[in-house]
Amino acid sequence: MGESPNSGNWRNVGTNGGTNLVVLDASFGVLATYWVRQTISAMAGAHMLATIMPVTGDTANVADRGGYFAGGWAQNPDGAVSDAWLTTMNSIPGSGINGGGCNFVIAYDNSPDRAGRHLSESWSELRNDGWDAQGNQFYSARWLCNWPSTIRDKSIFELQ
Amino acid sequence: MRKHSNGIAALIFLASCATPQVPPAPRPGLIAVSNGDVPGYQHGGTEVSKFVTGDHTEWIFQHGYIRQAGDEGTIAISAGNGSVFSVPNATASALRSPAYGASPQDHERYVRDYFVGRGLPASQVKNARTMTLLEATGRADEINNTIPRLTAYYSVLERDIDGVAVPDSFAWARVNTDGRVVQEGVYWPSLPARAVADAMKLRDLLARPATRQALSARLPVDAASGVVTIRHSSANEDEFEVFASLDVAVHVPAPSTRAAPNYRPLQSIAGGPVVVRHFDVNGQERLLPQERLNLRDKLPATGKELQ
Repeated sequence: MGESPNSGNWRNVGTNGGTNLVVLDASFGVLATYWVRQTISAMAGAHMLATIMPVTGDTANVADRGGYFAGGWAQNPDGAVSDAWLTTMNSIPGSGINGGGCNFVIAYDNSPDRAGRHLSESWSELRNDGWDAQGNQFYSARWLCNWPSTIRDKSIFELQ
Repeated sequence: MRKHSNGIAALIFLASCATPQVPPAPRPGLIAVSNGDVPGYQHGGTEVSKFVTGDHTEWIFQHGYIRQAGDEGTIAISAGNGSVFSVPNATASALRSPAYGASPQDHERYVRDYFVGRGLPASQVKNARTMTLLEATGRADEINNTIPRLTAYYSVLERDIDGVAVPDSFAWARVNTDGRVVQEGVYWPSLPARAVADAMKLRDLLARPATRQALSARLPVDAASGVVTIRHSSANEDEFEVFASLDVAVHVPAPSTRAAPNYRPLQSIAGGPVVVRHFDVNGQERLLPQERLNLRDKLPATGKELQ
Protein backbone atom coordinates (compact mmCIF):
# COMPACT_ATOMS: atom_id res chain seq x y z
CA MET A 1 0.00 0.00 0.00
CA GLY A 2 2.56 2.59 1.10
CA GLU A 3 5.65 1.63 -0.91
CA SER A 4 7.46 4.74 -2.11
CA PRO A 5 10.97 6.02 -2.83
CA ASN A 6 11.04 7.23 0.79
CA SER A 7 9.94 3.97 2.39
CA GLY A 8 11.84 1.59 0.13
CA ASN A 9 10.50 -1.13 -2.14
CA TRP A 10 9.49 -3.63 0.57
CA ARG A 11 11.02 -6.82 -0.79
CA ASN A 12 10.86 -5.62 -4.38
CA VAL A 13 7.13 -4.95 -4.33
CA GLY A 14 7.79 -1.57 -5.94
CA THR A 15 7.82 2.09 -5.02
CA ASN A 16 4.55 3.10 -6.60
CA GLY A 17 2.15 2.60 -3.69
CA GLY A 18 2.52 5.94 -2.02
CA THR A 19 -0.50 5.69 0.27
CA ASN A 20 0.04 7.38 3.62
CA LEU A 21 -3.29 6.60 5.29
CA VAL A 22 -5.41 3.50 4.79
CA VAL A 23 -9.01 3.43 6.07
CA LEU A 24 -10.92 0.16 6.14
CA ASP A 25 -14.54 1.00 6.95
CA ALA A 26 -15.59 -2.61 6.75
CA SER A 27 -17.08 -5.56 8.50
CA PHE A 28 -14.52 -7.07 10.91
CA GLY A 29 -11.71 -4.66 9.97
CA VAL A 30 -9.39 -6.47 12.35
CA LEU A 31 -10.04 -9.08 15.00
CA ALA A 32 -9.07 -8.73 18.62
CA THR A 33 -6.73 -11.68 18.46
CA TYR A 34 -5.07 -10.85 15.16
CA TRP A 35 -4.68 -7.07 14.94
CA VAL A 36 -0.91 -7.27 14.27
CA ARG A 37 -0.94 -10.40 12.17
CA GLN A 38 -3.69 -8.98 9.94
CA THR A 39 -1.98 -5.66 9.31
CA ILE A 40 1.81 -5.97 9.54
CA SER A 41 2.46 -7.32 6.06
CA ALA A 42 0.12 -4.94 4.28
CA MET A 43 1.42 -1.62 5.59
CA ALA A 44 4.71 -1.36 3.66
CA GLY A 45 5.49 2.29 4.23
CA ALA A 46 2.00 3.62 4.95
CA HIS A 47 1.94 5.99 7.93
CA MET A 48 -1.08 4.38 9.56
CA LEU A 49 -4.13 2.21 9.11
CA ALA A 50 -7.54 3.07 10.58
CA THR A 51 -10.31 0.54 10.88
CA ILE A 52 -12.78 -1.08 13.27
CA MET A 53 -12.17 -3.94 15.66
CA PRO A 54 -15.46 -5.57 16.63
CA VAL A 55 -15.27 -7.63 19.81
CA THR A 56 -18.91 -8.74 19.88
CA GLY A 57 -21.24 -8.01 16.96
CA ASP A 58 -19.85 -6.19 13.93
CA THR A 59 -19.45 -2.87 12.17
CA ALA A 60 -22.69 -0.98 11.59
CA ASN A 61 -23.19 0.23 8.05
CA VAL A 62 -23.67 3.97 8.71
CA ALA A 63 -23.75 6.92 6.34
CA ASP A 64 -21.82 9.48 8.31
CA ARG A 65 -18.64 7.83 9.64
CA GLY A 66 -16.65 9.28 6.73
CA GLY A 67 -18.25 12.68 7.16
CA TYR A 68 -17.38 12.87 10.83
CA PHE A 69 -13.83 11.68 10.11
CA ALA A 70 -13.18 14.22 7.36
CA GLY A 71 -14.89 16.88 9.45
CA GLY A 72 -11.91 16.65 11.78
CA TRP A 73 -9.76 18.22 9.05
CA ALA A 74 -12.20 21.07 8.45
CA GLN A 75 -12.55 21.71 12.18
CA ASN A 76 -8.81 21.72 12.93
CA PRO A 77 -6.19 20.79 10.32
CA ASP A 78 -3.61 20.80 13.15
CA GLY A 79 -5.53 18.05 14.99
CA ALA A 80 -4.41 14.42 14.99
CA VAL A 81 -5.71 12.27 12.14
CA SER A 82 -5.81 9.23 14.44
CA ASP A 83 -8.03 11.04 16.97
CA ALA A 84 -10.40 12.13 14.22
CA TRP A 85 -10.96 8.49 13.27
CA LEU A 86 -11.24 7.22 16.83
CA THR A 87 -13.74 9.84 17.96
CA THR A 88 -16.20 9.29 15.10
CA MET A 89 -17.59 6.73 17.51
CA ASN A 90 -18.86 9.48 19.82
CA SER A 91 -21.03 11.21 17.22
CA ILE A 92 -22.48 8.22 15.35
CA PRO A 93 -25.79 6.81 16.66
CA GLY A 94 -25.04 3.70 18.68
CA SER A 95 -21.27 4.25 18.24
CA GLY A 96 -21.30 2.73 14.75
CA ILE A 97 -20.76 -0.79 16.02
CA ASN A 98 -23.51 -3.33 16.47
CA GLY A 99 -22.39 -4.61 19.85
CA GLY A 100 -19.07 -4.17 21.60
CA GLY A 101 -16.07 -2.97 19.65
CA CYS A 102 -13.40 -0.39 19.11
CA ASN A 103 -12.31 2.13 16.52
CA PHE A 104 -8.69 1.20 15.89
CA VAL A 105 -5.57 2.87 14.48
CA ILE A 106 -2.15 1.29 14.08
CA ALA A 107 1.21 2.48 12.76
CA TYR A 108 4.47 0.64 12.17
CA ASP A 109 8.04 1.85 11.71
CA ASN A 110 11.64 0.95 12.46
CA SER A 111 11.66 2.51 15.95
CA PRO A 112 9.11 3.00 18.74
CA ASP A 113 9.47 6.78 18.43
CA ARG A 114 8.74 6.81 14.72
CA ALA A 115 5.77 4.45 15.12
CA GLY A 116 4.36 6.61 17.93
CA ARG A 117 4.91 9.80 15.99
CA HIS A 118 2.67 8.60 13.18
CA LEU A 119 -0.29 8.44 15.56
CA SER A 120 0.32 12.08 16.45
CA GLU A 121 0.45 13.26 12.86
CA SER A 122 -1.78 16.18 11.99
CA TRP A 123 -3.64 16.37 8.70
CA SER A 124 -0.86 18.55 7.31
CA GLU A 125 1.90 16.19 8.45
CA LEU A 126 0.08 13.20 7.01
CA ARG A 127 0.94 14.49 3.55
CA ASN A 128 4.68 14.50 4.25
CA ASP A 129 6.11 11.57 2.27
CA GLY A 130 9.41 12.16 4.05
CA TRP A 131 7.79 10.44 7.03
CA ASP A 132 6.89 7.24 5.19
CA ALA A 133 7.51 4.20 7.40
CA GLN A 134 11.00 2.73 7.08
CA GLY A 135 10.17 -0.65 8.57
CA ASN A 136 7.62 -2.63 10.56
CA GLN A 137 9.63 -3.83 13.54
CA PHE A 138 7.72 -1.62 16.00
CA TYR A 139 4.06 -0.72 16.26
CA SER A 140 2.02 1.90 18.02
CA ALA A 141 -1.76 1.40 18.33
CA ARG A 142 -4.79 3.13 19.80
CA TRP A 143 -8.28 1.83 20.46
CA LEU A 144 -11.39 3.74 21.42
CA CYS A 145 -13.73 1.07 22.74
CA ASN A 146 -17.45 1.60 23.22
CA TRP A 147 -17.62 0.47 26.82
CA PRO A 148 -16.32 1.89 30.09
CA SER A 149 -13.47 -0.01 31.63
CA THR A 150 -11.07 0.20 34.51
CA ILE A 151 -9.15 -2.91 33.53
CA ARG A 152 -5.50 -2.07 33.11
CA ASP A 153 -4.23 -5.33 31.68
CA LYS A 154 -4.56 -7.22 28.43
CA SER A 155 -7.77 -8.88 29.52
CA ILE A 156 -9.69 -5.75 28.46
CA PHE A 157 -10.09 -7.58 25.17
CA GLU A 158 -8.53 -10.64 23.67
CA LEU A 159 -5.12 -9.42 22.68
CA GLN A 160 -3.66 -12.90 22.48
CA MET B 1 0.89 65.78 2.02
CA ARG B 2 2.26 64.04 5.07
CA LYS B 3 -1.28 63.51 6.44
CA HIS B 4 -2.38 62.07 3.08
CA SER B 5 0.50 59.55 2.92
CA ASN B 6 -0.22 58.49 6.50
CA GLY B 7 -3.77 57.79 5.44
CA ILE B 8 -2.60 55.64 2.51
CA ALA B 9 -0.22 53.78 4.82
CA ALA B 10 -3.08 53.11 7.21
CA LEU B 11 -5.25 51.78 4.37
CA ILE B 12 -2.44 49.48 3.18
CA PHE B 13 -1.97 48.24 6.76
CA LEU B 14 -5.67 47.53 7.15
CA ALA B 15 -5.79 45.74 3.81
CA SER B 16 -2.86 43.53 4.78
CA CYS B 17 -4.68 42.56 7.99
CA ALA B 18 -7.95 41.76 6.25
CA THR B 19 -9.29 38.21 6.67
CA PRO B 20 -12.51 36.73 5.34
CA GLN B 21 -15.33 38.16 7.41
CA VAL B 22 -16.14 35.94 10.36
CA PRO B 23 -19.90 35.65 10.86
CA PRO B 24 -21.19 35.91 14.43
CA ALA B 25 -21.38 32.61 16.28
CA PRO B 26 -24.81 31.55 17.55
CA ARG B 27 -25.59 32.58 21.12
CA PRO B 28 -24.67 29.74 23.50
CA GLY B 29 -27.15 28.29 25.98
CA LEU B 30 -30.66 26.89 25.86
CA ILE B 31 -32.29 27.19 22.43
CA ALA B 32 -35.70 28.52 23.47
CA VAL B 33 -38.76 27.55 21.44
CA SER B 34 -42.52 28.08 21.38
CA ASN B 35 -45.67 26.25 20.25
CA GLY B 36 -44.78 23.06 22.07
CA ASP B 37 -41.51 22.53 20.21
CA VAL B 38 -38.66 20.88 22.11
CA PRO B 39 -35.83 23.20 23.20
CA GLY B 40 -32.27 22.43 22.20
CA TYR B 41 -28.84 23.44 23.41
CA GLN B 42 -26.24 25.55 21.65
CA HIS B 43 -22.64 25.10 22.80
CA GLY B 44 -20.15 27.89 22.24
CA GLY B 45 -16.59 29.15 22.27
CA THR B 46 -14.27 29.91 25.16
CA GLU B 47 -16.94 32.01 26.88
CA VAL B 48 -18.70 28.78 27.88
CA SER B 49 -16.37 25.90 26.99
CA LYS B 50 -13.72 24.49 29.30
CA PHE B 51 -11.70 23.54 26.24
CA VAL B 52 -8.38 25.38 26.19
CA THR B 53 -7.46 26.92 22.84
CA GLY B 54 -4.14 28.27 24.18
CA ASP B 55 -2.19 31.40 23.30
CA HIS B 56 -2.55 33.41 20.09
CA THR B 57 -6.24 32.53 19.80
CA GLU B 58 -7.94 34.14 16.82
CA TRP B 59 -11.28 33.87 15.02
CA ILE B 60 -11.22 32.35 11.55
CA PHE B 61 -14.04 31.46 9.16
CA GLN B 62 -13.05 28.47 7.02
CA HIS B 63 -14.67 25.40 5.49
CA GLY B 64 -18.06 26.35 6.89
CA TYR B 65 -16.82 26.60 10.49
CA ILE B 66 -16.47 29.65 12.70
CA ARG B 67 -13.20 28.67 14.35
CA GLN B 68 -11.60 29.97 17.51
CA ALA B 69 -8.07 28.66 16.92
CA GLY B 70 -5.05 28.87 19.20
CA ASP B 71 -1.73 27.20 19.92
CA GLU B 72 -3.37 24.29 21.77
CA GLY B 73 -6.49 23.65 19.72
CA THR B 74 -9.59 24.92 17.98
CA ILE B 75 -13.26 25.31 18.84
CA ALA B 76 -15.13 24.94 15.55
CA ILE B 77 -18.77 26.06 15.35
CA SER B 78 -20.67 25.07 12.23
CA ALA B 79 -22.12 28.12 10.53
CA GLY B 80 -24.67 25.85 8.89
CA ASN B 81 -26.19 24.00 11.82
CA GLY B 82 -24.54 25.20 15.06
CA SER B 83 -22.80 21.92 15.90
CA VAL B 84 -19.59 22.44 17.86
CA PHE B 85 -16.41 20.39 17.84
CA SER B 86 -13.43 21.33 20.00
CA VAL B 87 -10.35 19.59 18.64
CA PRO B 88 -6.91 19.68 20.29
CA ASN B 89 -3.83 20.16 18.17
CA ALA B 90 -1.97 16.91 17.62
CA THR B 91 0.74 17.97 20.08
CA ALA B 92 -1.50 19.71 22.65
CA SER B 93 -0.29 19.39 26.24
CA ALA B 94 -3.81 18.44 27.40
CA LEU B 95 -3.54 15.14 25.52
CA ARG B 96 -0.77 14.01 27.88
CA SER B 97 -2.64 14.40 31.16
CA PRO B 98 -4.61 11.53 32.71
CA ALA B 99 -8.39 11.10 32.71
CA TYR B 100 -10.63 12.89 35.18
CA GLY B 101 -11.83 11.01 38.27
CA ALA B 102 -11.25 7.63 39.78
CA SER B 103 -13.77 5.77 37.61
CA PRO B 104 -15.74 6.01 34.36
CA GLN B 105 -18.77 6.96 36.48
CA ASP B 106 -16.90 9.99 37.87
CA HIS B 107 -16.13 11.05 34.32
CA GLU B 108 -19.76 10.60 33.23
CA ARG B 109 -21.05 12.68 36.12
CA TYR B 110 -18.59 15.47 35.38
CA VAL B 111 -19.54 15.58 31.69
CA ARG B 112 -23.27 15.56 32.46
CA ASP B 113 -22.90 18.38 35.02
CA TYR B 114 -20.67 20.32 32.62
CA PHE B 115 -23.22 20.42 29.81
CA VAL B 116 -26.33 20.71 32.00
CA GLY B 117 -24.67 23.57 33.87
CA ARG B 118 -24.38 25.45 30.58
CA GLY B 119 -28.00 25.07 29.56
CA LEU B 120 -28.45 21.60 28.11
CA PRO B 121 -31.89 20.46 29.37
CA ALA B 122 -31.33 17.83 32.06
CA SER B 123 -34.74 16.28 31.38
CA GLN B 124 -33.56 15.30 27.88
CA VAL B 125 -30.54 13.32 29.07
CA LYS B 126 -31.48 9.67 29.08
CA ASN B 127 -28.12 8.44 30.25
CA ALA B 128 -24.44 8.58 29.44
CA ARG B 129 -22.26 5.96 27.85
CA THR B 130 -18.53 6.10 28.32
CA MET B 131 -15.85 5.00 25.86
CA THR B 132 -12.35 3.93 26.87
CA LEU B 133 -9.21 5.04 25.02
CA LEU B 134 -6.34 2.55 25.11
CA GLU B 135 -2.81 2.74 23.72
CA ALA B 136 -0.01 0.26 23.22
CA THR B 137 3.49 0.44 21.76
CA GLY B 138 6.07 -2.26 21.35
CA ARG B 139 7.96 -4.68 19.16
CA ALA B 140 5.72 -6.20 16.51
CA ASP B 141 7.13 -9.66 17.24
CA GLU B 142 6.35 -9.43 20.96
CA ILE B 143 2.66 -8.62 21.12
CA ASN B 144 2.10 -11.47 23.52
CA ASN B 145 3.56 -9.12 26.13
CA THR B 146 1.34 -6.20 25.18
CA ILE B 147 -0.54 -4.54 28.00
CA PRO B 148 -2.67 -1.67 26.74
CA ARG B 149 -2.45 1.59 28.66
CA LEU B 150 -5.75 3.22 29.65
CA THR B 151 -5.34 6.80 28.43
CA ALA B 152 -8.69 8.57 28.60
CA TYR B 153 -12.45 8.37 28.78
CA TYR B 154 -15.01 9.96 26.49
CA SER B 155 -18.53 10.30 27.93
CA VAL B 156 -21.46 10.72 25.53
CA LEU B 157 -24.84 12.06 26.70
CA GLU B 158 -27.77 10.32 24.98
CA ARG B 159 -30.94 12.30 24.22
CA ASP B 160 -34.46 11.18 25.00
CA ILE B 161 -37.79 13.01 24.64
CA ASP B 162 -40.64 11.47 26.67
CA GLY B 163 -39.06 8.04 26.44
CA VAL B 164 -38.20 8.28 22.74
CA ALA B 165 -34.51 8.20 21.83
CA VAL B 166 -33.02 10.89 19.58
CA PRO B 167 -29.85 9.07 18.48
CA ASP B 168 -28.52 11.74 16.11
CA SER B 169 -28.17 14.31 18.92
CA PHE B 170 -25.04 14.15 21.06
CA ALA B 171 -23.00 15.99 23.65
CA TRP B 172 -19.69 14.33 24.44
CA ALA B 173 -16.45 15.28 26.08
CA ARG B 174 -13.08 13.98 27.20
CA VAL B 175 -11.98 15.56 30.45
CA ASN B 176 -8.55 15.39 32.05
CA THR B 177 -7.52 15.17 35.67
CA ASP B 178 -7.73 18.89 36.37
CA GLY B 179 -11.21 19.23 34.91
CA ARG B 180 -10.16 20.76 31.59
CA VAL B 181 -12.00 19.57 28.51
CA VAL B 182 -9.53 17.93 26.13
CA GLN B 183 -12.01 17.33 23.31
CA GLU B 184 -15.76 17.74 22.86
CA GLY B 185 -18.59 17.59 20.36
CA VAL B 186 -22.14 18.91 20.68
CA TYR B 187 -25.16 18.80 18.39
CA TRP B 188 -28.45 19.15 20.27
CA PRO B 189 -30.88 21.00 17.98
CA SER B 190 -34.39 22.07 18.90
CA LEU B 191 -37.08 19.73 17.58
CA PRO B 192 -40.57 20.41 16.22
CA ALA B 193 -43.57 19.29 18.28
CA ARG B 194 -44.85 17.43 15.21
CA ALA B 195 -41.95 14.96 15.33
CA VAL B 196 -42.66 14.16 18.98
CA ALA B 197 -46.40 13.79 18.29
CA ASP B 198 -45.66 11.40 15.40
CA ALA B 199 -43.35 9.38 17.64
CA MET B 200 -46.12 9.04 20.23
CA LYS B 201 -48.55 8.00 17.49
CA LEU B 202 -46.07 5.36 16.26
CA ARG B 203 -45.69 4.08 19.79
CA ASP B 204 -49.47 3.82 20.15
CA LEU B 205 -49.81 2.01 16.83
CA LEU B 206 -47.23 -0.54 17.91
CA ALA B 207 -48.80 -1.01 21.34
CA ARG B 208 -52.10 -2.36 19.96
CA PRO B 209 -52.03 -5.73 18.15
CA ALA B 210 -54.45 -4.76 15.37
CA THR B 211 -52.74 -1.50 14.40
CA ARG B 212 -49.34 -3.07 14.90
CA GLN B 213 -50.23 -5.80 12.44
CA ALA B 214 -51.56 -3.27 9.93
CA LEU B 215 -48.37 -1.21 10.12
CA SER B 216 -46.13 -4.30 9.92
CA ALA B 217 -47.98 -5.45 6.81
CA ARG B 218 -46.93 -2.24 5.02
CA LEU B 219 -43.22 -2.68 5.83
CA PRO B 220 -40.73 -4.63 3.71
CA VAL B 221 -38.91 -5.82 6.85
CA ASP B 222 -39.81 -7.61 10.04
CA ALA B 223 -40.78 -4.85 12.46
CA ALA B 224 -40.60 -7.07 15.56
CA SER B 225 -37.24 -5.65 16.62
CA GLY B 226 -38.08 -2.09 15.58
CA VAL B 227 -37.51 0.83 17.93
CA VAL B 228 -39.45 4.11 17.88
CA THR B 229 -37.05 7.05 17.60
CA ILE B 230 -36.87 10.66 16.47
CA ARG B 231 -34.24 10.90 13.72
CA HIS B 232 -32.68 14.08 12.40
CA SER B 233 -29.90 15.20 10.07
CA SER B 234 -26.38 14.50 11.24
CA ALA B 235 -24.03 17.27 12.38
CA ASN B 236 -22.36 17.06 8.97
CA GLU B 237 -25.46 18.34 7.21
CA ASP B 238 -26.59 21.94 6.84
CA GLU B 239 -30.06 20.90 5.67
CA PHE B 240 -32.16 20.04 8.73
CA GLU B 241 -34.75 17.29 8.50
CA VAL B 242 -36.46 15.51 11.36
CA PHE B 243 -39.10 12.79 11.55
CA ALA B 244 -40.44 10.13 13.87
CA SER B 245 -39.13 6.74 12.82
CA LEU B 246 -39.56 3.09 13.45
CA ASP B 247 -35.88 2.10 13.21
CA VAL B 248 -35.32 -1.49 12.14
CA ALA B 249 -31.81 -2.98 12.07
CA VAL B 250 -31.30 -5.45 9.24
CA HIS B 251 -28.36 -7.48 8.05
CA VAL B 252 -26.40 -6.40 4.99
CA PRO B 253 -24.91 -9.57 3.57
CA ALA B 254 -22.12 -9.35 1.02
CA PRO B 255 -23.36 -9.57 -2.62
CA SER B 256 -21.61 -12.92 -3.05
CA THR B 257 -23.40 -14.27 0.02
CA ARG B 258 -26.76 -12.99 -1.21
CA ALA B 259 -26.23 -14.60 -4.61
CA ALA B 260 -25.56 -18.04 -3.15
CA PRO B 261 -28.39 -20.53 -3.92
CA ASN B 262 -28.67 -21.59 -0.28
CA TYR B 263 -28.73 -18.01 1.07
CA ARG B 264 -31.11 -17.37 3.95
CA PRO B 265 -31.24 -14.05 5.84
CA LEU B 266 -29.86 -14.25 9.38
CA GLN B 267 -32.47 -14.25 12.11
CA SER B 268 -30.37 -12.26 14.55
CA ILE B 269 -28.48 -9.00 14.05
CA ALA B 270 -25.59 -10.27 16.20
CA GLY B 271 -22.71 -10.98 13.84
CA GLY B 272 -22.37 -9.47 10.38
CA PRO B 273 -22.78 -5.87 9.30
CA VAL B 274 -26.14 -4.19 9.82
CA VAL B 275 -27.90 -1.14 8.48
CA VAL B 276 -30.74 0.71 10.21
CA ARG B 277 -33.77 1.42 8.01
CA HIS B 278 -36.29 4.10 8.92
CA PHE B 279 -40.08 3.97 8.51
CA ASP B 280 -42.36 6.87 9.31
CA VAL B 281 -45.79 6.87 10.92
CA ASN B 282 -47.36 6.01 7.54
CA GLY B 283 -45.05 3.07 7.00
CA GLN B 284 -43.13 4.94 4.31
CA GLU B 285 -39.38 4.33 4.21
CA ARG B 286 -37.38 7.49 4.84
CA LEU B 287 -33.77 8.44 4.34
CA LEU B 288 -31.87 11.05 6.31
CA PRO B 289 -29.93 13.70 4.35
CA GLN B 290 -26.63 11.98 5.19
CA GLU B 291 -28.01 8.80 3.66
CA ARG B 292 -28.79 10.54 0.34
CA LEU B 293 -25.27 11.01 -0.95
CA ASN B 294 -24.75 13.80 -3.41
CA LEU B 295 -21.04 14.21 -3.99
CA ARG B 296 -21.51 17.39 -6.00
CA ASP B 297 -22.61 19.17 -2.84
CA LYS B 298 -19.76 17.74 -0.81
CA LEU B 299 -16.72 18.52 -2.95
CA PRO B 300 -14.67 21.64 -2.24
CA ALA B 301 -15.22 24.46 -4.71
CA THR B 302 -11.66 24.03 -5.96
CA GLY B 303 -8.99 21.45 -5.33
CA LYS B 304 -6.82 24.28 -4.05
CA GLU B 305 -8.72 24.27 -0.77
CA LEU B 306 -6.88 21.09 0.09
CA GLN B 307 -3.42 22.60 -0.56
